[in-house]
Amino acid sequence: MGAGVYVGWNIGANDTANCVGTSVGCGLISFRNAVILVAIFSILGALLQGQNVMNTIGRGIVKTDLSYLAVIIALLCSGFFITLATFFRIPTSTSQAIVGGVVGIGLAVNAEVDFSKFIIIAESWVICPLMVMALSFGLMHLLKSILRRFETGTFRFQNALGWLAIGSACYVAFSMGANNAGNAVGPIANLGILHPKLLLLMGGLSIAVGAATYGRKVADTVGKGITPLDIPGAFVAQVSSAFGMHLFSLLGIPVSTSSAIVGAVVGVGLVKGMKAISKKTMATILLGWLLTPTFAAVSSFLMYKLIKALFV
Amino acid sequence: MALFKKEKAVDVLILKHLDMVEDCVQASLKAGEFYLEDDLSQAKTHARNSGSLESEADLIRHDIRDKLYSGAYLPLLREDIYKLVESIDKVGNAAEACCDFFLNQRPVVSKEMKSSFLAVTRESLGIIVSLKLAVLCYFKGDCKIETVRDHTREIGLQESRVDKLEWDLTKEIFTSEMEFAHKLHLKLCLDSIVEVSDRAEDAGDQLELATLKAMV
Repeated sequence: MGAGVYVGWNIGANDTANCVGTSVGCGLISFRNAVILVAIFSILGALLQGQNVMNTIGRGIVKTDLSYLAVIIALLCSGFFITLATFFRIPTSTSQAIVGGVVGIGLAVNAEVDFSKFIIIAESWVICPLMVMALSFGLMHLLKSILRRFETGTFRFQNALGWLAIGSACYVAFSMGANNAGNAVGPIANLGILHPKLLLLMGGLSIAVGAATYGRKVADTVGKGITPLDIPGAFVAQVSSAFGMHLFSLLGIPVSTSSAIVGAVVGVGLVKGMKAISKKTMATILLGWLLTPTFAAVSSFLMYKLIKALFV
Repeated sequence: MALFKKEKAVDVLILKHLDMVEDCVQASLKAGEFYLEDDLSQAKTHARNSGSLESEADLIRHDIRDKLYSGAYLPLLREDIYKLVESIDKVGNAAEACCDFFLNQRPVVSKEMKSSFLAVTRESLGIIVSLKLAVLCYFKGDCKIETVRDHTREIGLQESRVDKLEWDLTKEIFTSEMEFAHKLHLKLCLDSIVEVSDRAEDAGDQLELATLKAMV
């Protein structure tokens, strides 16, 4: 359970940025208030709709029940690489890390790994950001044409738009809780220590603690590093990514909150043209996405083999 | 409707503050006109009125500040709103200071220069009409952003006209046969008159910045 809490903490630290980085980045809300919103809505998302992904992580990929040792190694190895990415301010995918860790440990214990399920999940990691990017690009164009038609820019109008953006951040936090709490507690679910709902609550709470204690770093990257956003941009990016993640949560597919929001921010940035996108930041993020699941899989595989060889 | 109640209250106060500043500038303009027409008694009355209107405008500005920082509008917008209000308030302050200059220091304006001083006073303090139009246009949301920007451009043009008058009058002062101290005193008086249009231009710039930020 401690390892699950550690992964949950990592998710909160890395993925808070995905929920509120754009709103904090454009100055709509203070980081402190943003964290409170993330805590509330991610716990709600975890409790109300976290079951589907928890089932996928728990039984969907590795068909055999894993031992305590295997679960701990899978969680710790995944968590370690997310911590590393968070330290270097890279919005990595916690879903990819945990799926990588579970596959690695499944192979290490010679369990039956459902590669067809794994391929579906891996495909969604590509489809989700692309879908969200297209959605945010289209939505941004639509919003721009609506705003230009009204041509009003009163402070009260901007204020209302700002509140919509904050509301959409809450929706992202809800979707993040629904999709990612299962990542943290999915592997533990089969051990039968706690009722699934309590496990999801634990996942949601640890996400909230991670957001409060270590979420600031990646928030700066998402909010300002890729492309500077204004209020309509933040709103569109958040609504698009939340919609994408929510859709995959309902399908029980653990997608990356990071790839969803980064895809959405890029979509908004593309409306301003390619020059608005920071290519260096994008390259760092893509490298993080590729390396995190690979390292999580390889390290959990090797760690399990090493511990078995030395102590068992 | 309870939604955005605090914001609506702030908007009402901003418009009230704008009215107060306009009245203050108009009172200062009248005081200046009466002073230049040698009607000191009327000038004093309007100057006193200008002072009390400026004090009232200050109180409203404080009220706006308190409301903003007790939760009206999102933090991102508060600074822009308060900066705009503050810049409008400075127009009132400058008008009051101009009034004070006339009645406290009593500059001696020769007959030949009176018409020039009157013209520059009317042009500089009259800028409040364009400023009020631009701010009302923006806050009421009836105009398109481009229309607001047209109004702010008009403020800039009027300020340029004031600059031209100031240049000519400065030249007139310093090429006259007056004592140097007298020349300097009149130049100081002129500076205090044109300060009003300078501050109005700053307020117009602040407003234009707000419209630019609102453009997508």
